Amino acid sequence: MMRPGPPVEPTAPAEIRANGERAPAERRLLLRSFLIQGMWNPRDLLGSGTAWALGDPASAGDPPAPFNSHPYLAGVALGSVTRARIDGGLTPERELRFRTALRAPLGALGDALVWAGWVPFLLLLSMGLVLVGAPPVPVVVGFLVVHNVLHVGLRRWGLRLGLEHGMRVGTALGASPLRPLGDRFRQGVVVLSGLVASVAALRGGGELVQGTAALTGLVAGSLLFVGLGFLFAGRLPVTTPLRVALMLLGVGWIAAVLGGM
Amino acid sequence: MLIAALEPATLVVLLLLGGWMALDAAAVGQFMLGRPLVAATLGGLLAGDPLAGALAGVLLEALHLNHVPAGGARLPDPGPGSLVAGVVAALPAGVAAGSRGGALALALTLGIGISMAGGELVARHRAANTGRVERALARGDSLGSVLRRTLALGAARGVGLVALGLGLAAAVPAAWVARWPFALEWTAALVGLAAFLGLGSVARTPVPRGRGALLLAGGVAAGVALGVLFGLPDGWIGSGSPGQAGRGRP
Repeated sequence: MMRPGPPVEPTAPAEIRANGERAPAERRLLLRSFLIQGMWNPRDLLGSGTAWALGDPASAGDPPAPFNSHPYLAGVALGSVTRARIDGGLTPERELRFRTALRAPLGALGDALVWAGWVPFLLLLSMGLVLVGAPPVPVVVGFLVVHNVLHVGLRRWGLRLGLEHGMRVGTALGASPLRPLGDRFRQGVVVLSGLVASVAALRGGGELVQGTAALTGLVAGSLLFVGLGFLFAGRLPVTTPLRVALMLLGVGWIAAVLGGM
Repeated sequence: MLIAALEPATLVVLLLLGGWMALDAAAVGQFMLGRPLVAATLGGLLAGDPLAGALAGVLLEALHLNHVPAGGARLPDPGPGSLVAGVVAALPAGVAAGSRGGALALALTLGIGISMAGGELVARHRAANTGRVERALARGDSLGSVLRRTLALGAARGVGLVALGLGLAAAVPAAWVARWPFALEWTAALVGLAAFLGLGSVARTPVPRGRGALLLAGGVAAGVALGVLFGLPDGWIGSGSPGQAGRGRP
């Protein structure tokens, strides 16, 4: 049950060894890493996707072992397992322990760098640019280009790191600049949240009211909601802003429907 | 009918994009095509008014930005809904019905509703994947065949959600949209209150030495300074196509 894979070398490592270069297998692993979440399920999480990406055999009596990672860093695991199989001496039990040990750092690093870091950073920057009047289509295209240069670059870097370091990839990962980079992006996210909120309040407020006092009051009221969001984050469900918006819209729709009766 | 202005070819493109966005959310690549700002701007572009789509997109993005999809978290799936929102916000029929505010309100209502429904469907789809893998392996099928099946189902979910959204937009009586009680600017401000909550929530992300409040205050001060420097209160909502209605007019 939950055996991570056979100790024999699958196709990809054989290609690497035979050709004396890692390009074909590396390309295949990289491409498969883009689909690694395609079979995500609560039992093995990324386990089925990882087994498929590595080309491991799976059967009812030998289902994929559970595995988890940030998807952009899953290549670290794919590369290091592949390299460890090439190096030999990797028993199924040892591979399972190795994969289990990688789960927490790959998940935490990726979440801190990508989901809480550069993705909201780039989106806030894009929102700010739209708010100050930049044409939205080039802004959106710019966001997609910058994000995906970083995204594909991180996938490729992680895969190469794993292929290079094998079972010692944990040390290499710890010495990488990912953690401080994530810290910088998250600091930028906090600053940009305040900046975008105040620019939005000023821009929108200027359309709603006239006069410095009224505008100041409106901006202050808007920023009060930012403060409430900051104070209550973590204590309320993350969907609270969506639910509040839906409730406010619902009140308007009731007025619209009843207004015609 | 709000979507009568769409060409059949545009409808097909929208449905296909919905499928792609549903897959992009997690199963394939995560290239961020389904982010609300991207999807709504694209929807607006296809309906002929990217700026109107972007306005809906900025608001929807602020509402979704605090969602961190870590560890298989159960979250709304904003791509298909935001695409629909961009289309509905941008359609000229919104003007014909006499209310750009009403068109934006309908766009945001559909965008949020479909996003939440999509999140629920994603959770069910993922739960069912456990059985799909087990049954396929019991039959002797390969993991590749399971993957193809789950991706096809994921794409069908996105297509279905976009079809549902456009269908609902078509079913809403134009008179309701026309009677929406707020102008475009006030509609944006109304939802903006919730969006400000979202922005505050995003700012709570952990930073070194716990200086989040200080950094947030610095960001607010910088925004105000920039606003004063560049005279921001003039323009934006009222200066582009979404704001043709002008101040206070519905």
